[in-house]
Amino acid sequence: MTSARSFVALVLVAGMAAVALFILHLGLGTVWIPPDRVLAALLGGLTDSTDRTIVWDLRMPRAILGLLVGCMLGLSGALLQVVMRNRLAEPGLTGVSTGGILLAVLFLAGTWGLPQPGRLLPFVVLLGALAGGILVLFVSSARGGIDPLRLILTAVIVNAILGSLTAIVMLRSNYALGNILSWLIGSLHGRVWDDVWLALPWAAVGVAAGLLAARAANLLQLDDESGRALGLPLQPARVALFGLAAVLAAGAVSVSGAIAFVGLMAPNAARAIVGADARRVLPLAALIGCVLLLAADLVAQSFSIRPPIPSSAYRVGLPVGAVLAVFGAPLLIFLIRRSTR
Amino acid sequence: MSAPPGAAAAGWSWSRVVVAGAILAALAVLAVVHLSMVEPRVAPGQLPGILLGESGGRIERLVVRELGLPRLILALLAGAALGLSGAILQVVLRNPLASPGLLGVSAGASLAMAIILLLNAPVLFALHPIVALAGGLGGGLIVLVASRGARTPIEAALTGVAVAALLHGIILAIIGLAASSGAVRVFFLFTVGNLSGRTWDHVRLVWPWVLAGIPVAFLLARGANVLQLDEDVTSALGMPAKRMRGVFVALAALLVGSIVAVAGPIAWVGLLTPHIARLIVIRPDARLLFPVATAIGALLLLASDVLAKVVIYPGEIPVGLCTTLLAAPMILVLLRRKNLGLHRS
Repeated sequence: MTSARSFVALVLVAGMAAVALFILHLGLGTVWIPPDRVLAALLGGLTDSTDRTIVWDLRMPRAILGLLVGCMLGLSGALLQVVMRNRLAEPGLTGVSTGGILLAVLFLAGTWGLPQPGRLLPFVVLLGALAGGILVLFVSSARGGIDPLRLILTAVIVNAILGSLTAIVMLRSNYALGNILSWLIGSLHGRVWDDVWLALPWAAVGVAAGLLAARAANLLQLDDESGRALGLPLQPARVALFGLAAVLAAGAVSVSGAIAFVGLMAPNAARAIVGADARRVLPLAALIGCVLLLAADLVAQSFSIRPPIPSSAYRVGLPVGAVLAVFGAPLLIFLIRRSTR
Repeated sequence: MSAPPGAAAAGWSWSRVVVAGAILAALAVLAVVHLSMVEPRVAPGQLPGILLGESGGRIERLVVRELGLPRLILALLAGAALGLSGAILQVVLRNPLASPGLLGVSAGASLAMAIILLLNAPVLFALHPIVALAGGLGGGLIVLVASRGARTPIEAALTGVAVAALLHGIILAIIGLAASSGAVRVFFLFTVGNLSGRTWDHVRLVWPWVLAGIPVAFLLARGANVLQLDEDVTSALGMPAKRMRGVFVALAALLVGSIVAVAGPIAWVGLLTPHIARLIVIRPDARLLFPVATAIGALLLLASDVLAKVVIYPGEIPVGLCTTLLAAPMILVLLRRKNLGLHRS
């Protein structure tokens, strides 16, 4: 698939798949609402008010977040793979997941006696996530600018430290272990409009800027000399793209927790389909992220009607990340194997 | 890679002798410290007598010989195996992000333990490591089979990561659907990596794999060097790159399989150790890198286990967590050196 026309067709197909999944997602739940009634409720046609309440107030936030988070993680992973020149890179490597979760664990483990820590948690996670990203960037740009290999090394180290600190806090606090598990695993259960408003600005700015950065991303994929010769200021470009990847991932983590694999799979799937050109990989990775996360959440939701054992503090049902990995992994292997280079 | 083959690695220089001597001395000192940190504590001077059965009370002898010694040996074996396995993978897959985690072994062992601990599968406690070993080798086998047709290192690596993600996905589903909080806590302790309370039974399960795997890896190091070259060069040399890569991946899996089964997937050692070793070795020659990574891995895990026993004494931190906190600052310091030995992959 190399011609421009087939790429446009591909994007259209993926986009339509996302829309279809979105409508299905809105219909699915304790009460099944067929697609035609979902559409009517969406477009404000002749419908009963129950449909409209269920669709708009209860299910819309989760569906929108599925779209946004998938899109953000897919694009973030694609950008990071360019900056680090490594196809094993994934959004968590920016330090935002471990940073956000560490602060969340400290927040929950600390006896801060707030009435409803749950409502504040997304903000706490966002703060920690951004701090984690800044920490990775700060440590890796110590001297002589950012080199992809140095960036990878420092990212791994900072993540290792933050992750270990998190584990220590979790082991020393029962309460945190129970409550934090759903953040570690990542889930879209019970999300409301407030969460959408928290993620939306990051998604809007990050996705727009990320897609506009495709040309710079292409130049970064070349070796340093060629990139510089073609007029790209390497260091600022690397910092900017890393920052974008971190911001996108931070926005996603703050509302959904650390959903793994989608940020690794989407860019690699996109690359297996359209090749290395960032102008195609970036939008396609974002779209694939959307489709994957919506589809996985659809399955997760339909499986988690009632857990078999009486509930405990951190029950999350079937986590979306689990579904994603179980169905996504074979698909990724198939796509890689099929790609011709 | 510019050095003529054979000449560089075979020859020895004073700097190499000094580095090797320093590592061995540090290992010896740490081993004594580690062994004296049994509970109740024993003075290092008493150790020879206790080990030979000439001095010390019954309790001291029992504690040193039945708890201290197996744990010491296990720490050495685990560190060596994880460090070497990580080095093999980073060289052969030509990726600084490669680690034993993408072998599917840790994920397979974790899945087996998740089924035991979270779903209350009726398995005798003494058989847990054996079931975990079977799970780990099963996971490794899936990765090997799935990556059989991989044409490039990155394809093989991505396939491993994908399989590991799949197995982890199943674990997440089990946690999400059917786990009680107490069981999750026990399972979490396993996944962090732990050496406390290990006995000779655990050592017996581990040592044949590790002691067989290490010399094989050293002997095959030349082949690993060839795999560092471009595919075009390798095929021009008439090397069956795909098959060789498969052999190394299998070797890496066999090295860590038993370790993960008895000590849990001790995080980060396999990923961090090769980077430390590379900062010491500088030249990308597997014949040097493999032994250094093996020694550094053992050193790192031993030091971490000493730390694990000290930090919150009389309590203990799981060793997997100490490794990170110890190794990470070390790498940061090494990274500050002006002349980085980083070569582009």
